Amino acid sequence: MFACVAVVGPENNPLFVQTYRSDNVVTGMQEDPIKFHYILHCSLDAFEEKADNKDSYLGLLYPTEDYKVYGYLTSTQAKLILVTHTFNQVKESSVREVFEGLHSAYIDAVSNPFYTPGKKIESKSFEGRVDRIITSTART
Amino acid sequence: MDAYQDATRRGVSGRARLQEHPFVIALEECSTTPVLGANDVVSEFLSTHNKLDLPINLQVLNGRSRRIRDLEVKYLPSEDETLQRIYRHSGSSVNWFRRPYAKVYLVCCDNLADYKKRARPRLRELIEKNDRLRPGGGGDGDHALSGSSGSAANPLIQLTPWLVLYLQGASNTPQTQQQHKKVFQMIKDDFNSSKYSSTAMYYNSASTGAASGAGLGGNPMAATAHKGKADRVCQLVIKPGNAVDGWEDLSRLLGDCVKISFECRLGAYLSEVRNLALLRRTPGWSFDHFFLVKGSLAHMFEQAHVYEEAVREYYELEVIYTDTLEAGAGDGGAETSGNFGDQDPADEEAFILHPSRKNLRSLCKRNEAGNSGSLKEFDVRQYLFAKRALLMLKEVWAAAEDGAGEQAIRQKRHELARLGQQFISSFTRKLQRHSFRAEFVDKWVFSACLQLASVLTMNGEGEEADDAVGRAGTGDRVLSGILADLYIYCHSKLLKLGATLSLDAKRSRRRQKVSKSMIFASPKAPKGSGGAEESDPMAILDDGACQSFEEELILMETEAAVAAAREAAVMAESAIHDAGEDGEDLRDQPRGSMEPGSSHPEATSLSCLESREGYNLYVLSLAREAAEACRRCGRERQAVQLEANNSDILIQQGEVAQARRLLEQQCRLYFEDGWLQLLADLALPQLVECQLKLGDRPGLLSSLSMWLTMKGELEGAAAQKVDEEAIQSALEDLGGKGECSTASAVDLHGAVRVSRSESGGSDLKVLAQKNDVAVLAFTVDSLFPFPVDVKGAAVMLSKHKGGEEASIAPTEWVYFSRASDTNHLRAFSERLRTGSAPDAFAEAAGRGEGSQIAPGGNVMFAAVLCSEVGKYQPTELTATAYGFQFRCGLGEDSGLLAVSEEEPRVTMAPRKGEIYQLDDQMIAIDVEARGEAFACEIGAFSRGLAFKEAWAIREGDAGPPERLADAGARGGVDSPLYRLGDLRGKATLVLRVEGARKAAPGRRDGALLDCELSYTSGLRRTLARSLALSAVAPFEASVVFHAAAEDRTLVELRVASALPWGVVARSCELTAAGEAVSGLFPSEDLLPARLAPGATLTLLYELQSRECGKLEVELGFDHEKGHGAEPGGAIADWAAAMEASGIWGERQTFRGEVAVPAKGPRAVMSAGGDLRLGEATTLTWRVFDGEIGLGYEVRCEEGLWVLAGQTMGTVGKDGVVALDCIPLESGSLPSPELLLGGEGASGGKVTVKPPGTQTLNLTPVG
Repeated sequence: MFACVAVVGPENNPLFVQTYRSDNVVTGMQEDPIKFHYILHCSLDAFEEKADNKDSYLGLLYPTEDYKVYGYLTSTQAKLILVTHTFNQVKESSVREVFEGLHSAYIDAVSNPFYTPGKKIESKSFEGRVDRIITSTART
Repeated sequence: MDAYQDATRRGVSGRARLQEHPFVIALEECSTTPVLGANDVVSEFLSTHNKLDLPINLQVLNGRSRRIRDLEVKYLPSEDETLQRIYRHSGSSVNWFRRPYAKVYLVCCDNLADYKKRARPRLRELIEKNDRLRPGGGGDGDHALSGSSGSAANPLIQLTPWLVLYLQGASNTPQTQQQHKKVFQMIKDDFNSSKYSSTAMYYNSASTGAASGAGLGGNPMAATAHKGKADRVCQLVIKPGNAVDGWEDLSRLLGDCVKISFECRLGAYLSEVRNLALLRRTPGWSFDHFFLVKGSLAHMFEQAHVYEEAVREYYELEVIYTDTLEAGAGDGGAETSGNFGDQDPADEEAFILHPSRKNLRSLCKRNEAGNSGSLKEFDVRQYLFAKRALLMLKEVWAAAEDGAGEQAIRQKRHELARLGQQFISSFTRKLQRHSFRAEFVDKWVFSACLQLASVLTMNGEGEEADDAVGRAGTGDRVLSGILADLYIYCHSKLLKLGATLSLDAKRSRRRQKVSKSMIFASPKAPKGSGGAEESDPMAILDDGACQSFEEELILMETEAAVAAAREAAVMAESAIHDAGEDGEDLRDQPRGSMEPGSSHPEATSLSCLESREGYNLYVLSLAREAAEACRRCGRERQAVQLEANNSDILIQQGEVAQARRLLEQQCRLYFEDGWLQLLADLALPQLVECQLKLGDRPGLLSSLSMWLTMKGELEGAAAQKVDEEAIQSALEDLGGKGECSTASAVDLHGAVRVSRSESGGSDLKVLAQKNDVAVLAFTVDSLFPFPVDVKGAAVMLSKHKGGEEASIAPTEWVYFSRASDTNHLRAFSERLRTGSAPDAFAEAAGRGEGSQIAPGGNVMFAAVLCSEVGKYQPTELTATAYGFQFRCGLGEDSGLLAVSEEEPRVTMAPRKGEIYQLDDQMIAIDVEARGEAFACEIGAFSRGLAFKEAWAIREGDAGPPERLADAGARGGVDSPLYRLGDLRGKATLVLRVEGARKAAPGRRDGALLDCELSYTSGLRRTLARSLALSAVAPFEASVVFHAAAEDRTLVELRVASALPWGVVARSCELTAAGEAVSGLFPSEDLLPARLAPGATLTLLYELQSRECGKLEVELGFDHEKGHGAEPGGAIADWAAAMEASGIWGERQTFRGEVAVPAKGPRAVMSAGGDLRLGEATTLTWRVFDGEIGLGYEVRCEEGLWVLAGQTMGTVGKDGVVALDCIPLESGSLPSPELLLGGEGASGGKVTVKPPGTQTLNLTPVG
């Protein structure tokens, strides 16, 4: 369902990028993670366009040929990004729930006194929590 | 691609012009003399006056009106074949809009009789014939309704408003003019009469602006009848010189006619359309006919420049079409590819802006009535959108011509852009649903996007692409955003096509992957929805809009009437098109024919797929256009990536420099945003490849820096993406090929990290004074795997002034040293601390040291001469390596250099400005260093003096004085320099001086002591002081003569030492006339006497005779060794130095003379008894050698004595003065003193002379 989850810092640097099994529509092979990095980086322009949005949840940022990208902007300007396959019909409420769960996990991760702000989030517990959020949503 | 876009724009502009259909005005001659074709003046006048100047208020839908200016009209004579054809087929609702909107009866008569006889009957005949077609009148065969049910219900379609135009030729005589006036008046009387009231009603209602026949919903015939004359006669007066008057009246009347006709036909059309729409569920109903009628109505709106209504008609047509398709699908006729359209290769090129490319109206005519579905949805959808798009474009241009606000024009342009975007998106999905080949769909989308983007960048109808591009979208972020989306989508599709057709085979695999992942932002979620569900514009058309439209319709027609009307319309349309009489037919040419108004064949965007060169060109152009649009709407990242993704093509084409520029932008973007994975995997290796090809040393170093900076954060294989050794060897190879210059310094990023302190801390501050050399130390961590030789290194210091950066100054000296080489570091830092910084840096440079940044940790010393007071912040390190400049930024915790006003670093002051008349003596100079002064050297000079040696006594040093080494004579001065060495705090320098014995005491001018102190404090500095010296006798001696008896005098000799050190008086002899005067006390008991500085030695001698004249005094003394020199005492320094120098023990003799006072009155005091406190004792003074009448006065110190008796008076004959004196204090008291003198001249006062005290000048002997 979800192909990629990412947390991008206020300075637009990637803090956490997690890709999931997603086969290419044409080749049927596993997508190269670099493609998701590329998509994520492109989506930063869309975040800037929608920066004046009052709601943290920015909705669909843009669709590509194969994927759709959703965004969520926290009050500290951290950006949460979800990439889904275009053929998946994802409900808005589901996406919003995923983002809220990710936001909560992100807050806990950066509240860790051993975490250095602005650096990559390398916490195993955060990674596990993100996986749980994604897989539980995909199951439902 | 630009050529294609230009061609598209030209085509759109041309098509828009061709669709300008003027209203037809029929001209009927009613004169015996032919005018049309015969009178050049009239023909010329009519050809040039084809726009109705006066504004016309046209009633359109739902009571709304539009004020139209400059309506175009076309004059057709009644015999004209075109007009005849129009008449023949005008019964069909399809062709109502083609009918003449006015009839103009031309009358030209020479005189009244001619008019009455010939013109008037003819005129009446024609008008009556025309009026027979009025509502309720009997129609003739030519103008009978063609069976259309709509026209039958709206007989006003047949009504053609008329007017009489009297042509008045040039009049040469007043009589002729009079005749013309009479004729014109008679015509007015005849045809403005109420006889023609049935049509006059419309004239007057048109003129007054009241609701006319186009009440649009009501029967115009039901309007209130107007009884009165109508104004429908006007004249054209041909003046001498072929000037024509009367256009204003003619234009007004024509406008009235057009208005009436338009509104009547509009009402009829609406009724017809409504009927047809409501009957669409009936069997036999054909969309084709509805398509023709609705299109005709839209044409009429377009004729009248009411574009908004025309757009609405096409929109409604699309809604009905959708509804019809759905109804067909519901009846079992499910949509199939065949009904939708064939995948004809010719259809791969979209025609969303070319409505006439497929002549759909001709297609309608060719199909038999009732053969519904003859039109393919593929064509109809594109046709309808194309019509709407062109109308919206014309609306934009019209708004621009009318001077509408920028905002309004933008709004219209946005509407078109969004509509186009939605159409492409939804139509693409339709194509996919109908299982069109992917390649077909891609080609269609590619061409459609390109066409739409081309017209969106047009500014005006007449403007060509070169002017339009970049102007229409400039400053309009919304439009730029849509344009960017279109270009990106187009680009993406082209890449896909390229890959399919093997045109893109040489692109790197990585680039292929990501370049298709570019954003396609259409369709976007509607604003405010904020939802994940995308809006589907086609869904809007298919459902909601259709339903609402249907609700507006009124069911009122019958199936038979609709069928008849359809048949008639189709036949009429066929007839007109067969004739091919006007531009309409030219527009409906089949595909592949020539573009009207253009001599060039129609351009096709798909031609770029025929060759790799063309494909590459399109890919690059599209990327460039998309990037520009992205930049205009603030999507910098997309812009950069779009351009950089084509670097493969550029490299293949040999444009490596351009590819490098694009890749540099991309690398910088990734690097600044921190997307290192993308940088390492996608952009940087390719950039390095370009730089290696170009031999770009700065670029290579920059890339390497970037790489090294981020390398530590990369994981796995990504950390091996760049071949560092290749870069190193390239740099070294290229480095030997001479210097190169770069416009801007290469940023070394974190590859070389420079910081003030490893522990950090922004409070790190270096304090310095003006003219100090401030040395800042930095740690430099180099990630370069090889040493980097640098030249011209400097740390930039920014001066802050009131919170703002005021100026930047570079440090003057920089020295690098490996941090692990602690001994070397320590030695250099010590050298910097104790020596001259410039010298230290220069020496290091001379040895070839300090110019290499070694891999790993380094220490950098940067020194600057503080020439200006202020606070300075180190900002970056700049230097040159491999022939070009680089820079490393310093962090915010780089500390601060605070430069304050200069204060004396070293002070120097001679302790006394006096020189003693001695053979040897010491001069002391106090020196103080604030902080540290290194390598101090001191020297002194004074004319006539010889400086023999120097001693230093440092504060806090309890040891013996330090003899200073001789540093050699100073240039030009016969005085040596003494090495003081390093100085901290205070010190006293004691200089041994010879040659002052003969100095003249008291002379202060001309004798100067010049002192000079050289020291090092960052720089080598010299402090010079000059002090005026005065020669001073070492002793101050005085002699006081006291009368002890008549023949004895006591001589009191006082000798005070002026020397700053102690002396021992060894001998003191007083001789008078060559004989020694014996002392009152034995000399052996008194001498030698020790004299501390300032102490006085008093010796008493008794002189028997006062006839000697003068006395000689000879004093012998030694410098006393250590006398009074307690540690820390005032003379301790002297003593210590003198002891060290060994100038003790050299006996010195001073001699002087004093004159004995001349003989005169004197007194000797004696006391009458013991003096006791508080008891009176008589003191008696016996005066010798006094004259009678000699005045006296007794004085005493007040508070010590009480004198009783005459203290002032004259000495008596006995020469005795006696007083009772009572001492008030015990102890040794100064006795009262008798002063003798002459009697004052006035008041009996006595002037007394004090006892003489004479100063004795003691000078050295020998």
